[in-house]
Amino acid sequence: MTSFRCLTEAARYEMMQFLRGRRALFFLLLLSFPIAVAVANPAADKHGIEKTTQSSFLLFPGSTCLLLAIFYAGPLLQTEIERKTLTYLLVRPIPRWQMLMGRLLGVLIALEAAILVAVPLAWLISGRPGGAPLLWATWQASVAAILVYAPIALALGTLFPQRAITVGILWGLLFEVLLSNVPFISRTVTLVPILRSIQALPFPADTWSEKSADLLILDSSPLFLWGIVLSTAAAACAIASLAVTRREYALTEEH
Amino acid sequence: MMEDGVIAAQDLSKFFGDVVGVNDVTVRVKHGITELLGPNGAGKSTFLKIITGQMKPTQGSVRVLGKDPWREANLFRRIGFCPEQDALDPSTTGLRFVETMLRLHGIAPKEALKRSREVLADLNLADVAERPMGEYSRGMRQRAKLAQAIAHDPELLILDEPMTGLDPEGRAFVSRRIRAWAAAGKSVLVSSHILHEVQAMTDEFLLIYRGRIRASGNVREVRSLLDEHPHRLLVRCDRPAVLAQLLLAEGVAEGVDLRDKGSALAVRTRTPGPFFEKLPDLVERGGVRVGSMISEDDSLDAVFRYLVDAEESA
Repeated sequence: MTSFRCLTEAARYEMMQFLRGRRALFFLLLLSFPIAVAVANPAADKHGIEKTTQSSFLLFPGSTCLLLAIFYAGPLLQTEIERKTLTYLLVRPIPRWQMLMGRLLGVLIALEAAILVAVPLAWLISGRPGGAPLLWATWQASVAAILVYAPIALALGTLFPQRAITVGILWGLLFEVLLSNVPFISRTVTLVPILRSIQALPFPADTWSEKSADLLILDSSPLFLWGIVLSTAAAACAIASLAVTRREYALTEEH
Repeated sequence: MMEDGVIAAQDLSKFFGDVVGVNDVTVRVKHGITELLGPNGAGKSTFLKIITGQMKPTQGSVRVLGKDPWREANLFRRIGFCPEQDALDPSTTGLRFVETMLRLHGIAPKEALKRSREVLADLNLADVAERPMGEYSRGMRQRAKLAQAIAHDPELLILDEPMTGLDPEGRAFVSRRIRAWAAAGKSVLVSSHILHEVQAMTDEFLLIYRGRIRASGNVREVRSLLDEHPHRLLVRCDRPAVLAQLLLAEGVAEGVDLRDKGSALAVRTRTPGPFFEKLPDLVERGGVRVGSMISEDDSLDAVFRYLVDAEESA
């Protein structure tokens, strides 16, 4: 089987499972984002609270996308181990790392597709706050967020397969929430400034709140920002692939 | 390759910290049907996980069909594995399950669907192929697991406790299928902790106990050691008293006890061969509906102890 075929079949396998169990719950959460925004900020433009609505869009990549990555990509192995179905995948003629990358591809396709629908829907229901630039900014940054957070969550999941979600949440809270608010550290160990800067490309920072604007990497080119996103994702994929190739995951209670 | 056997392990050990999984196993499994025997916790599952590339050995080496199962994923085109655990996605249909597994073997979608239907029909699952596996009986799930193992037409089938939880009819069916696969030129390694299941399928066995291969060869030699120890079975059925009378009258049971408020029958027999041969007829004659049959037979442990004692005193 060619590598491409391996990837596509593993991706298909993952996408088939996408709407099952607790994953379905978070998928609904994503799709309910437009309704949540509309309920929280009814007729935003008319009552002068557009800033709040804008903030919810600006925070979307670093919050909702982060959670989606942790809950979908993180437990790819954990779920199979808990259901004791990992065996069926390990005895297929597909190298483990290709199986894992194929499944990650499935998660990425499903989440990116959902975001491409959910974000514009939210923007329309909320009365088109910030105009097209905010939509474009949130869209781009959300795609980037899923692209980088999902491999990181997966890498953590392969290193801590029994507690993938817990470790993912701890990492998210520590790095992407707490440390991302510490200006110097945030630019070196967290991805929030990168995602915010991607948002700032079409949606200028002078319309943001002061705190958010502080985190931006000013005068950075799209190539640089996307380069950081892609290289971080590639590094996380490499760690996950290496871990899954070298480690045993078939341990059960009976030896 | 065949000179070396389909499976060749050399000084194979697997440790989990201080716990021994398998210990210094050197063994060759020949072409044909071979039974891997041992009580629960003896190391059977660990050995099977190593030869199916799910675990890597701590020491030693293993070759399956001449290849290293941990490193060479392509080997799994030639191997089918049916795991012991009764773990299947309850919301997936049997057809979708087998088709998905076939597609992961690189088989084109149309061919995978066609072959899935054929193999499920072959295992008497055609009628329920499009029903979620959550609605399957234990026997159906067992056959669905077998279907994914054989669907890609492997050279070597590795089956981990395929009889567990099956009723007598189901056991007989699986046993027949295993013999048919072997007759078609496949090699089959079947693990079991129930000795009498072996006789229906093969004379070749490996006996594993506390992680070591204690004996291998012809099953009759081991069986003769068992004759001094009665086999114990627990049969859950709707008319245990009727079944008890028939078994005693036929002389295939040495003793019987009603259990669980009369919903189960504990049977002791020194002649398991005739017992299993006659049981289907007796069940039919008495109009008894058998829900399940579990072996309480720990006389195999006695054989293991005997072998271990013999080995230690030697």
